[in-house]
Amino acid sequence: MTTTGVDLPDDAVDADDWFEVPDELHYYYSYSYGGVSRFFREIVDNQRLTVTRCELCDRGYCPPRRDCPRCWERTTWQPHPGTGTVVAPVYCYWTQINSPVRRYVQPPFVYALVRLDGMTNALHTLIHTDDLRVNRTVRVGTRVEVRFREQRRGTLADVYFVPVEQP
Amino acid sequence: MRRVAVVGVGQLPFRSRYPADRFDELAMMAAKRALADAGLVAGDVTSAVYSVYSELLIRQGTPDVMIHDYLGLNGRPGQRVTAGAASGGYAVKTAWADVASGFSDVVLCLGVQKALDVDDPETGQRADAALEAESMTLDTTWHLPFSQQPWALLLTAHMDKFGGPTEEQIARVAVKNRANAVRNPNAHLRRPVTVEEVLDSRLTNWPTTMFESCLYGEAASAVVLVAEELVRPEQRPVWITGVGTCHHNSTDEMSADDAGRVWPLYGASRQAYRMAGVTDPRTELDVVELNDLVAGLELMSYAELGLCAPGEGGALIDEGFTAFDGPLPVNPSGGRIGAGHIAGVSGIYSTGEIVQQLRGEAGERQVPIRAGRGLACMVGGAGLGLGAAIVLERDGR
Ligand SMILES: [Zn+2]
Repeated sequence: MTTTGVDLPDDAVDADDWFEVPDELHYYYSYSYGGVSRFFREIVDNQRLTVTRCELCDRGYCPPRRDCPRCWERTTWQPHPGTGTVVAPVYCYWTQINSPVRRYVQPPFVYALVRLDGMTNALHTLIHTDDLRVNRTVRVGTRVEVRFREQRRGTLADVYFVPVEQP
Repeated sequence: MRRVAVVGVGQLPFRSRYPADRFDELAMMAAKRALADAGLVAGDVTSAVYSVYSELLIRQGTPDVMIHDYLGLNGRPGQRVTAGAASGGYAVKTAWADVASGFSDVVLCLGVQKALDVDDPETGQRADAALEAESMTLDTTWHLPFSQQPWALLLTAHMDKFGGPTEEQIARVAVKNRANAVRNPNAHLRRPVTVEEVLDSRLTNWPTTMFESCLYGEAASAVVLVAEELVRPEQRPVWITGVGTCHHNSTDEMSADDAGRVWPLYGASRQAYRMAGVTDPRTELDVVELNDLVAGLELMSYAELGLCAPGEGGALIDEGFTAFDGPLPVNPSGGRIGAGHIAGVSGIYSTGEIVQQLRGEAGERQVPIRAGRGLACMVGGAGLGLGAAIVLERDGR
Protein backbone atom coordinates (compact mmCIF):
# COMPACT_ATOMS: atom_id res chain seq x y z
CA MET A 1 0.00 0.00 0.00
CA THR A 2 1.40 3.38 -0.91
CA THR A 3 -0.99 5.97 0.38
CA THR A 4 1.71 8.40 1.38
CA GLY A 5 -0.07 11.62 0.85
CA VAL A 6 -0.40 12.06 -2.89
CA ASP A 7 -4.19 12.17 -2.94
CA LEU A 8 -6.52 13.72 -0.49
CA PRO A 9 -7.81 11.11 1.91
CA ASP A 10 -11.44 10.21 1.45
CA ASP A 11 -12.33 11.85 4.71
CA ALA A 12 -10.71 15.19 3.82
CA VAL A 13 -13.30 16.08 1.23
CA ASP A 14 -14.27 19.65 1.90
CA ALA A 15 -17.49 19.94 3.77
CA ASP A 16 -19.52 23.09 3.41
CA ASP A 17 -21.68 22.66 6.46
CA TRP A 18 -19.25 23.90 9.07
CA PHE A 19 -20.37 26.40 11.63
CA GLU A 20 -18.09 29.16 12.88
CA VAL A 21 -18.39 30.90 16.20
CA PRO A 22 -16.76 34.24 17.06
CA ASP A 23 -14.77 34.14 20.27
CA GLU A 24 -12.13 36.17 22.04
CA LEU A 25 -9.50 35.77 24.70
CA HIS A 26 -8.37 38.60 26.97
CA TYR A 27 -5.81 38.53 29.72
CA TYR A 28 -4.29 41.27 31.79
CA TYR A 29 -0.91 40.91 33.43
CA SER A 30 1.04 42.81 36.04
CA TYR A 31 4.35 41.07 36.09
CA SER A 32 7.52 41.69 38.03
CA TYR A 33 10.81 42.19 36.29
CA GLY A 34 12.42 40.41 39.22
CA GLY A 35 16.17 40.83 39.39
CA VAL A 36 16.31 43.15 36.41
CA SER A 37 13.67 45.53 37.76
CA ARG A 38 16.33 48.19 38.30
CA PHE A 39 16.99 48.38 34.55
CA PHE A 40 13.40 49.41 33.87
CA ARG A 41 12.98 51.56 37.00
CA GLU A 42 16.06 53.63 36.11
CA ILE A 43 14.76 54.12 32.59
CA VAL A 44 11.30 55.16 33.73
CA ASP A 45 12.32 57.33 36.70
CA ASN A 46 15.72 58.73 35.74
CA GLN A 47 16.24 58.22 32.01
CA ARG A 48 19.39 56.30 32.87
CA LEU A 49 20.70 53.11 31.38
CA THR A 50 22.05 50.53 33.81
CA VAL A 51 23.69 47.20 33.03
CA THR A 52 25.05 44.31 35.05
CA ARG A 53 28.54 42.90 35.25
CA CYS A 54 29.90 39.64 36.62
CA GLU A 55 32.77 40.38 38.96
CA LEU A 56 34.16 36.89 38.52
CA CYS A 57 34.56 36.82 34.73
CA ASP A 58 34.13 40.57 34.03
CA ARG A 59 31.42 40.00 31.40
CA GLY A 60 28.93 42.83 31.05
CA TYR A 61 25.27 42.25 30.28
CA CYS A 62 22.69 44.38 28.54
CA PRO A 63 20.03 43.02 28.45
CA PRO A 64 21.01 42.83 32.10
CA ARG A 65 21.08 39.48 33.86
CA ARG A 66 20.95 39.03 37.61
CA ASP A 67 23.03 35.88 37.21
CA CYS A 68 26.04 35.33 34.97
CA PRO A 69 25.23 32.45 32.60
CA ARG A 70 28.90 31.45 32.52
CA CYS A 71 29.76 31.56 36.23
CA TRP A 72 26.28 31.31 37.80
CA GLU A 73 27.42 34.17 40.03
CA ARG A 74 25.25 37.13 41.03
CA THR A 75 26.14 40.16 38.94
CA THR A 76 26.42 43.78 40.11
CA TRP A 77 24.78 46.90 38.64
CA GLN A 78 26.65 49.68 36.84
CA PRO A 79 25.56 52.85 35.07
CA HIS A 80 26.13 52.90 31.31
CA PRO A 81 26.54 55.97 29.06
CA GLY A 82 24.24 54.43 26.43
CA THR A 83 26.69 54.27 23.56
CA GLY A 84 27.05 51.20 21.43
CA THR A 85 27.46 49.64 18.01
CA VAL A 86 24.97 48.04 15.63
CA VAL A 87 25.65 44.31 15.41
CA ALA A 88 22.82 43.52 13.00
CA PRO A 89 20.17 45.82 11.52
CA VAL A 90 16.76 44.91 10.14
CA TYR A 91 15.13 47.23 7.63
CA CYS A 92 11.51 46.50 8.26
CA TYR A 93 9.12 47.39 5.45
CA TRP A 94 6.20 45.28 6.60
CA THR A 95 4.76 44.20 9.88
CA GLN A 96 1.42 42.84 11.03
CA ILE A 97 -1.48 45.20 10.84
CA ASN A 98 -2.01 44.84 14.59
CA SER A 99 1.65 44.63 15.62
CA PRO A 100 2.39 46.34 18.94
CA VAL A 101 5.42 47.98 17.33
CA ARG A 102 2.95 50.21 15.48
CA ARG A 103 2.34 51.96 18.78
CA TYR A 104 5.81 53.48 18.28
CA VAL A 105 6.63 53.47 14.56
CA GLN A 106 5.08 52.62 11.23
CA PRO A 107 7.00 50.74 8.54
CA PRO A 108 9.47 51.34 7.16
CA PHE A 109 11.61 51.41 10.28
CA VAL A 110 14.90 49.99 11.50
CA TYR A 111 15.35 47.71 14.43
CA ALA A 112 18.67 46.29 15.35
CA LEU A 113 20.76 44.28 17.69
CA VAL A 114 22.94 46.82 19.48
CA ARG A 115 25.94 45.92 21.58
CA LEU A 116 26.39 48.57 24.24
CA ASP A 117 30.07 49.37 24.76
CA GLY A 118 31.76 46.77 26.90
CA MET A 119 28.86 44.32 26.88
CA THR A 120 28.94 40.62 26.02
CA ASN A 121 25.36 40.33 24.79
CA ALA A 122 23.27 42.64 22.64
CA LEU A 123 20.00 44.51 22.94
CA HIS A 124 17.08 44.36 20.48
CA THR A 125 16.02 47.95 19.92
CA LEU A 126 14.64 50.52 17.49
CA ILE A 127 16.96 52.82 15.57
CA HIS A 128 15.46 56.16 14.63
CA THR A 129 16.55 57.33 11.23
CA ASP A 130 14.70 59.09 8.46
CA ASP A 131 16.53 57.83 5.40
CA LEU A 132 15.67 54.13 5.52
CA ARG A 133 13.78 53.97 2.27
CA VAL A 134 16.52 55.58 0.24
CA ASN A 135 19.87 54.74 1.77
CA ARG A 136 19.65 52.16 4.53
CA THR A 137 22.59 53.95 6.13
CA VAL A 138 22.34 52.11 9.44
CA ARG A 139 24.75 49.25 9.03
CA VAL A 140 26.77 46.75 10.99
CA GLY A 141 29.28 48.88 12.86
CA THR A 142 27.17 52.06 12.96
CA ARG A 143 27.74 53.87 16.25
CA VAL A 144 24.54 54.65 18.10
CA GLU A 145 23.44 56.40 21.27
CA VAL A 146 20.44 55.87 23.52
CA ARG A 147 17.41 58.14 23.67
CA PHE A 148 14.49 57.98 26.09
CA ARG A 149 10.88 58.45 25.13
CA GLU A 150 8.79 61.12 26.77
CA GLN A 151 6.19 58.56 27.69
CA ARG A 152 7.83 55.67 29.52
CA ARG A 153 5.95 52.78 31.04
CA GLY A 154 8.68 50.25 31.70
CA THR A 155 9.17 48.25 28.53
CA LEU A 156 11.96 47.74 26.05
CA ALA A 157 10.31 50.32 23.80
CA ASP A 158 10.94 53.13 26.31
CA VAL A 159 14.37 53.53 24.76
CA TYR A 160 15.54 53.79 21.19
CA PHE A 161 18.84 54.66 19.59
CA VAL A 162 20.02 57.20 17.07
CA PRO A 163 23.09 56.96 14.83
CA VAL A 164 25.95 59.21 15.89
CA GLU A 165 28.55 58.41 13.24
CA GLN A 166 29.14 56.00 10.39
CA PRO A 167 31.75 53.23 10.47
CA MET B 1 19.81 0.76 21.75
CA ARG B 2 17.32 -0.71 19.32
CA ARG B 3 17.32 0.27 15.67
CA VAL B 4 14.33 2.39 14.72
CA ALA B 5 12.49 2.47 11.40
CA VAL B 6 9.89 4.78 9.94
CA VAL B 7 7.26 2.51 8.39
CA GLY B 8 4.37 4.87 7.84
CA VAL B 9 3.85 8.34 6.43
CA GLY B 10 0.59 10.26 6.41
CA GLN B 11 0.28 13.78 5.13
CA LEU B 12 -2.45 16.30 4.52
CA PRO B 13 -1.82 19.11 2.07
CA PHE B 14 -0.79 22.47 3.50
CA ARG B 15 -3.66 24.89 3.06
CA SER B 16 -4.33 28.39 4.22
CA ARG B 17 -7.21 27.04 6.25
CA TYR B 18 -9.18 23.88 6.95
CA PRO B 19 -12.42 25.54 8.06
CA ALA B 20 -14.36 22.28 8.05
CA ASP B 21 -11.95 20.40 10.33
CA ARG B 22 -11.02 20.78 13.97
CA PHE B 23 -7.42 20.12 15.05
CA ASP B 24 -8.31 16.72 16.49
CA GLU B 25 -10.14 15.80 13.28
CA LEU B 26 -7.11 16.79 11.21
CA ALA B 27 -4.99 14.65 13.54
CA MET B 28 -7.29 11.69 12.88
CA MET B 29 -6.96 12.11 9.10
CA ALA B 30 -3.15 12.18 9.23
CA ALA B 31 -2.99 9.29 11.73
CA LYS B 32 -5.27 7.14 9.57
CA ARG B 33 -3.10 7.67 6.54
CA ALA B 34 0.15 6.98 8.39
CA LEU B 35 -1.12 3.78 9.97
CA ALA B 36 -2.65 2.59 6.70
CA ASP B 37 0.69 3.24 5.00
CA ALA B 38 2.38 1.14 7.69
CA GLY B 39 -0.20 -1.62 7.44
CA LEU B 40 -1.03 -1.11 11.11
CA VAL B 41 -4.13 -0.22 13.08
CA ALA B 42 -4.68 2.05 16.06
CA GLY B 43 -4.55 -0.93 18.38
CA ASP B 44 -0.92 -1.54 17.38
CA VAL B 45 0.21 1.88 18.63
CA THR B 46 2.03 1.59 21.96
CA SER B 47 2.68 5.31 22.49
CA ALA B 48 2.23 8.66 20.81
CA VAL B 49 4.24 11.85 20.48
CA TYR B 50 2.38 14.99 19.44
CA SER B 51 4.03 17.97 17.84
CA VAL B 52 1.65 20.83 18.53
CA TYR B 53 3.46 24.12 18.51
CA SER B 54 1.05 26.71 19.85
CA GLU B 55 -1.87 26.80 22.22
CA LEU B 56 -2.85 30.38 21.43
CA LEU B 57 -3.33 29.57 17.76
CA ILE B 58 -5.90 26.87 18.51
CA ARG B 59 -7.38 28.35 21.70
CA GLN B 60 -6.61 25.16 23.57
CA GLY B 61 -4.06 24.28 26.23
CA THR B 62 -2.78 20.68 26.49
CA PRO B 63 -4.21 19.83 23.06
CA ASP B 64 -2.40 16.48 23.20
CA VAL B 65 -4.92 15.27 25.78
CA MET B 66 -7.79 15.98 23.41
CA ILE B 67 -6.01 14.45 20.42
CA HIS B 68 -5.05 11.29 22.32
CA ASP B 69 -8.63 10.88 23.46
CA TYR B 70 -10.01 11.63 20.00
CA LEU B 71 -7.76 8.96 18.46
CA GLY B 72 -9.00 6.45 21.03
CA LEU B 73 -5.56 6.01 22.57
CA ASN B 74 -6.54 6.73 26.18
CA GLY B 75 -4.52 4.69 28.63
CA ARG B 76 -1.40 4.56 26.45
CA PRO B 77 1.64 6.81 26.93
CA GLY B 78 1.46 10.14 25.18
CA GLN B 79 3.63 13.22 25.12
CA ARG B 80 3.51 16.64 23.57
CA VAL B 81 6.55 18.38 22.12
CA THR B 82 6.68 22.04 21.23
CA ALA B 83 9.79 23.77 19.88
CA GLY B 84 8.81 26.54 17.51
CA ALA B 85 9.18 25.80 13.82
CA ALA B 86 11.52 22.95 14.80
CA SER B 87 8.81 21.18 16.83
CA GLY B 88 8.43 18.31 14.38
CA GLY B 89 12.12 17.45 14.51
CA TYR B 90 12.18 17.47 18.29
CA ALA B 91 9.08 15.25 18.22
CA VAL B 92 10.70 12.73 15.86
CA LYS B 93 13.76 12.67 18.11
CA THR B 94 11.51 12.02 21.11
CA ALA B 95 9.63 9.26 19.28
CA TRP B 96 12.94 7.74 18.17
CA ALA B 97 14.17 7.72 21.76
CA ASP B 98 10.97 6.02 22.91
CA VAL B 99 11.59 3.15 20.51
CA ALA B 100 15.39 3.01 20.75
CA SER B 101 15.26 2.84 24.53
CA GLY B 102 12.74 0.02 24.57
CA PHE B 103 10.08 2.22 26.16
CA SER B 104 7.73 1.72 23.24
CA ASP B 105 7.52 -0.53 20.16
CA VAL B 106 5.21 1.41 17.85
CA VAL B 107 5.07 5.19 18.13
CA LEU B 108 2.65 7.43 16.33
CA CYS B 109 4.46 10.75 15.86
CA LEU B 110 1.92 13.31 14.79
CA GLY B 111 2.06 17.03 14.09
CA VAL B 112 -1.05 19.14 13.77
CA GLN B 113 -1.69 22.84 13.92
CA LYS B 114 -4.43 25.19 12.94
CA ALA B 115 -3.47 28.86 12.72
CA LEU B 116 -6.03 30.84 10.81
CA ASP B 117 -8.75 30.39 13.37
CA VAL B 118 -7.16 33.46 14.90
CA ASP B 119 -9.10 36.38 13.59
CA ASP B 120 -9.21 40.13 13.74
CA PRO B 121 -12.81 41.21 13.40
CA GLU B 122 -11.83 44.82 12.69
CA THR B 123 -9.55 44.10 9.75
CA GLY B 124 -10.46 40.54 8.82
CA GLN B 125 -6.70 39.87 8.55
CA ARG B 126 -6.45 36.36 9.95
CA ALA B 127 -2.80 35.86 8.94
CA ASP B 128 -1.74 39.06 10.66
CA ALA B 129 -3.66 38.08 13.76
CA ALA B 130 -2.04 34.63 13.75
CA LEU B 131 1.45 36.11 13.42
CA GLU B 132 0.68 38.40 16.33
CA ALA B 133 -0.32 35.44 18.49
CA GLU B 134 2.81 33.63 17.33
CA SER B 135 5.00 36.52 18.43
CA MET B 136 4.10 35.62 22.02
CA THR B 137 6.52 32.71 21.63
CA LEU B 138 9.39 35.15 21.16
CA ASP B 139 11.11 36.65 24.19
CA THR B 140 8.34 38.93 25.43
CA THR B 141 10.69 41.00 27.59
CA TRP B 142 13.75 41.40 25.40
CA HIS B 143 12.55 40.87 21.80
CA LEU B 144 9.06 42.33 21.57
CA PRO B 145 7.69 44.53 20.19
CA PHE B 146 10.42 44.73 17.51
CA SER B 147 12.13 41.51 16.73
CA GLN B 148 9.36 39.47 15.25
CA GLN B 149 11.65 38.15 12.51
CA PRO B 150 14.81 36.87 14.24
CA TRP B 151 16.13 35.37 11.00
CA ALA B 152 16.28 38.89 9.54
CA LEU B 153 18.94 39.89 12.07
CA LEU B 154 21.00 36.82 11.17
CA LEU B 155 20.70 37.48 7.46
CA THR B 156 21.93 41.08 7.49
CA ALA B 157 24.76 40.15 9.87
CA HIS B 158 25.65 37.24 7.60
CA MET B 159 25.65 39.41 4.48
CA ASP B 160 27.84 42.00 6.15
CA LYS B 161 30.31 39.46 7.50
CA PHE B 162 30.62 37.23 4.46
CA GLY B 163 29.77 39.65 1.65
CA GLY B 164 26.88 37.53 0.42
CA PRO B 165 24.52 36.14 -0.62
CA THR B 166 23.32 38.67 -3.17
CA GLU B 167 19.67 39.62 -3.51
CA GLU B 168 19.49 37.66 -6.75
CA GLN B 169 20.98 34.52 -5.19
CA ILE B 170 18.39 34.74 -2.43
CA ALA B 171 15.63 35.13 -5.01
CA ARG B 172 16.88 32.02 -6.79
CA VAL B 173 16.06 29.92 -3.72
CA ALA B 174 12.43 31.02 -3.92
CA VAL B 175 12.37 30.27 -7.64
CA LYS B 176 13.81 26.77 -7.05
CA ASN B 177 11.44 25.90 -4.23
CA ARG B 178 8.36 27.25 -5.94
CA ALA B 179 9.28 25.23 -9.05
CA ASN B 180 9.72 22.12 -6.92
CA ALA B 181 6.33 22.67 -5.31
CA VAL B 182 4.64 22.45 -8.70
CA ARG B 183 5.46 18.69 -8.62
CA ASN B 184 4.06 18.27 -5.11
CA PRO B 185 0.31 17.66 -4.85
CA ASN B 186 0.44 18.47 -1.13
CA ALA B 187 2.02 21.87 -1.70
CA HIS B 188 0.35 25.10 -0.71
CA LEU B 189 1.72 27.18 -3.61
CA ARG B 190 1.92 25.39 -6.94
CA ARG B 191 2.59 28.27 -9.31
CA PRO B 192 6.20 28.80 -10.41
CA VAL B 193 7.76 32.26 -10.16
CA THR B 194 10.66 34.00 -11.89
CA VAL B 195 13.63 35.79 -10.34
CA GLU B 196 12.15 39.07 -11.55
CA GLU B 197 8.78 38.37 -9.94
CA VAL B 198 10.47 37.46 -6.68
CA LEU B 199 12.64 40.57 -6.62
CA ASP B 200 9.70 42.77 -7.62
CA SER B 201 7.41 41.43 -4.92
CA ARG B 202 6.91 43.51 -1.81
CA LEU B 203 9.89 44.02 0.52
CA THR B 204 9.18 42.66 3.98
CA ASN B 205 12.53 42.95 5.76
CA TRP B 206 15.30 43.93 3.37
CA PRO B 207 16.57 42.04 1.47
CA THR B 208 13.75 39.58 1.96
CA THR B 209 10.65 39.95 -0.19
CA MET B 210 7.16 38.53 0.17
CA PHE B 211 7.80 35.76 -2.37
CA GLU B 212 10.91 34.77 -0.43
CA SER B 213 8.89 34.25 2.74
CA CYS B 214 6.88 31.18 3.68
CA LEU B 215 3.15 31.40 4.07
CA TYR B 216 1.46 30.41 7.27
CA GLY B 217 -1.07 27.64 6.84
CA GLU B 218 -2.74 24.65 8.43
CA ALA B 219 -2.04 20.94 8.09
CA ALA B 220 -1.45 17.66 9.86
CA SER B 221 1.25 15.11 9.25
CA ALA B 222 2.29 11.85 10.89
CA VAL B 223 4.99 9.21 10.80
CA VAL B 224 4.98 5.81 12.46
CA LEU B 225 8.17 4.58 14.11
CA VAL B 226 8.70 0.95 15.05
CA ALA B 227 11.40 -1.21 16.60
CA GLU B 228 13.52 -3.31 14.27
CA GLU B 229 12.14 -6.64 15.44
CA LEU B 230 8.64 -5.60 14.38
CA VAL B 231 9.55 -4.35 10.91
CA ARG B 232 8.08 -6.21 7.95
CA PRO B 233 9.65 -5.82 4.48
CA GLU B 234 6.36 -4.76 2.89
CA GLN B 235 6.42 -1.71 5.15
CA ARG B 236 9.37 -0.36 3.10
CA PRO B 237 11.21 0.69 6.26
CA VAL B 238 13.47 3.72 6.29
CA TRP B 239 15.87 3.78 9.22
CA ILE B 240 16.61 6.64 11.55
CA THR B 241 20.38 6.44 11.93
CA GLY B 242 21.08 9.85 13.41
CA VAL B 243 19.20 12.42 15.47
CA GLY B 244 20.26 15.76 16.84
CA THR B 245 18.72 18.74 18.54
CA CYS B 246 20.32 21.97 19.64
CA HIS B 247 19.09 24.97 21.60
CA HIS B 248 21.25 27.99 20.85
CA ASN B 249 19.91 31.55 20.79
CA SER B 250 21.57 32.89 17.67
CA THR B 251 20.77 36.55 18.39
CA ASP B 252 21.93 36.87 21.99
CA GLU B 253 25.63 37.64 21.64
CA MET B 254 26.54 37.85 17.97
CA SER B 255 30.20 38.33 18.77
CA ALA B 256 32.49 38.87 15.81
CA ASP B 257 33.08 35.13 15.74
CA ASP B 258 29.52 33.91 16.00
CA ALA B 259 27.50 36.61 14.18
CA GLY B 260 25.41 35.64 11.19
CA ARG B 261 25.43 31.93 11.90
CA VAL B 262 22.48 29.60 12.47
CA TRP B 263 24.04 27.77 15.39
CA PRO B 264 21.15 25.46 16.32
CA LEU B 265 21.25 23.92 12.86
CA TYR B 266 25.00 23.52 13.05
CA GLY B 267 24.77 21.83 16.43
CA ALA B 268 21.83 19.58 15.56
CA SER B 269 23.23 18.43 12.23
CA ARG B 270 26.69 17.70 13.62
CA GLN B 271 25.14 15.58 16.36
CA ALA B 272 23.01 13.67 13.86
CA TYR B 273 25.94 13.20 11.45
CA ARG B 274 28.12 11.87 14.25
CA MET B 275 25.51 9.30 15.23
CA ALA B 276 24.95 8.27 11.61
CA GLY B 277 28.65 8.23 10.73
CA VAL B 278 28.23 10.92 8.09
CA THR B 279 31.56 12.67 7.46
CA ASP B 280 31.01 14.21 4.02
CA PRO B 281 27.37 15.30 3.74
CA ARG B 282 27.95 16.60 0.20
CA THR B 283 28.42 13.09 -1.12
CA GLU B 284 26.84 10.95 1.58
CA LEU B 285 23.39 12.56 1.38
CA ASP B 286 21.02 12.18 -1.58
CA VAL B 287 18.39 14.67 -0.52
CA VAL B 288 17.81 17.34 2.12
CA GLU B 289 14.66 18.98 3.45
CA LEU B 290 15.23 22.11 5.51
CA ASN B 291 13.27 25.06 6.91
CA ASP B 292 13.44 27.82 4.34
CA LEU B 293 11.26 30.07 6.48
CA VAL B 294 12.75 32.74 4.26
CA ALA B 295 14.94 32.17 1.22
CA GLY B 296 18.05 33.67 2.79
CA LEU B 297 17.81 31.20 5.63
CA GLU B 298 18.13 28.28 3.19
CA LEU B 299 21.41 29.72 1.89
CA MET B 300 22.75 30.24 5.42
CA SER B 301 21.65 26.70 6.28
CA TYR B 302 23.82 25.13 3.56
CA ALA B 303 26.95 26.05 5.50
CA GLU B 304 25.55 24.95 8.85
CA LEU B 305 24.82 21.53 7.33
CA GLY B 306 28.39 21.27 6.06
CA LEU B 307 27.52 21.61 2.37
CA CYS B 308 29.82 24.63 1.97
CA ALA B 309 31.82 27.13 3.98
CA PRO B 310 29.95 29.94 5.77
CA GLY B 311 29.13 32.64 3.25
CA GLU B 312 29.30 30.28 0.28
CA GLY B 313 25.58 29.44 0.16
CA GLY B 314 24.99 31.82 -2.72
CA ALA B 315 27.60 30.08 -4.85
CA LEU B 316 25.91 26.74 -4.18
CA ILE B 317 22.56 27.91 -5.55
CA ASP B 318 24.31 29.57 -8.50
CA GLU B 319 26.00 26.36 -9.54
CA GLY B 320 22.78 24.40 -9.20
CA PHE B 321 24.22 22.13 -6.54
CA THR B 322 20.92 22.04 -4.64
CA ALA B 323 18.62 22.20 -7.67
CA PHE B 324 16.02 19.49 -8.28
CA ASP B 325 18.35 17.92 -10.86
CA GLY B 326 21.55 18.91 -9.05
CA PRO B 327 24.00 16.68 -7.14
CA LEU B 328 22.18 17.26 -3.83
CA PRO B 329 18.57 18.42 -4.20
CA VAL B 330 17.39 20.56 -1.29
CA ASN B 331 13.67 20.88 -0.61
CA PRO B 332 12.32 18.82 -3.52
CA SER B 333 8.93 19.12 -1.79
CA GLY B 334 9.05 22.88 -2.31
CA GLY B 335 10.11 23.47 1.26
CA ARG B 336 8.43 25.98 3.47
CA ILE B 337 8.24 28.58 0.68
CA GLY B 338 6.54 26.24 -1.79
CA ALA B 339 5.12 23.22 0.01
CA GLY B 340 3.93 25.22 2.97
CA HIS B 341 4.54 25.84 6.61
CA ILE B 342 2.99 25.70 9.96
CA ALA B 343 5.16 25.19 13.02
CA GLY B 344 4.54 21.78 14.57
CA VAL B 345 3.62 20.11 11.30
CA SER B 346 6.50 21.10 9.01
CA GLY B 347 9.15 18.99 10.72
CA ILE B 348 7.01 15.84 10.61
CA TYR B 349 6.16 16.63 7.01
CA SER B 350 9.84 17.01 6.07
CA THR B 351 10.69 13.72 7.75
CA GLY B 352 7.88 12.05 5.79
CA GLU B 353 9.14 13.62 2.58
CA ILE B 354 12.63 12.17 3.08
CA VAL B 355 11.09 8.77 3.84
CA GLN B 356 9.09 8.92 0.61
CA GLN B 357 12.18 9.96 -1.36
CA LEU B 358 14.31 7.14 0.07
CA ARG B 359 11.55 4.61 -0.62
CA GLY B 360 11.38 5.81 -4.21
CA GLU B 361 7.74 6.78 -3.72
CA ALA B 362 7.95 10.53 -4.24
CA GLY B 363 6.23 10.43 -7.62
CA GLU B 364 6.94 13.36 -9.92
CA ARG B 365 9.29 14.93 -7.41
CA GLN B 366 11.42 11.79 -6.95
CA VAL B 367 15.15 12.55 -6.92
CA PRO B 368 17.87 9.97 -7.64
CA ILE B 369 18.82 7.89 -4.61
CA ARG B 370 22.46 6.80 -4.75
CA ALA B 371 23.91 6.77 -1.23
CA GLY B 372 20.52 5.80 0.19
CA ARG B 373 20.61 8.54 2.78
CA GLY B 374 18.71 11.79 3.40
CA LEU B 375 18.46 14.54 5.95
CA ALA B 376 15.43 16.29 7.38
CA CYS B 377 16.25 19.31 9.50
CA MET B 378 14.39 22.19 11.06
CA VAL B 379 15.15 25.48 12.70
CA GLY B 380 12.91 27.96 14.48
CA GLY B 381 12.01 29.58 17.76
CA ALA B 382 12.88 32.81 19.51
CA GLY B 383 16.23 34.13 18.33
CA LEU B 384 16.12 31.31 15.77
CA GLY B 385 17.35 29.30 18.73
CA LEU B 386 15.97 25.80 18.09
CA GLY B 387 17.37 23.22 15.70
CA ALA B 388 16.73 19.56 14.94
CA ALA B 389 18.18 17.12 12.44
CA ILE B 390 17.20 13.58 11.47
CA VAL B 391 19.36 11.36 9.25
CA LEU B 392 17.33 8.69 7.45
CA GLU B 393 18.65 5.70 5.52
CA ARG B 394 17.10 3.24 3.13
CA ASP B 395 19.23 0.32 4.20
CA GLY B 396 20.36 1.25 7.69
CA ARG B 397 23.40 -0.43 9.17
ZN1 LIG C 1 30.73 35.41 35.07
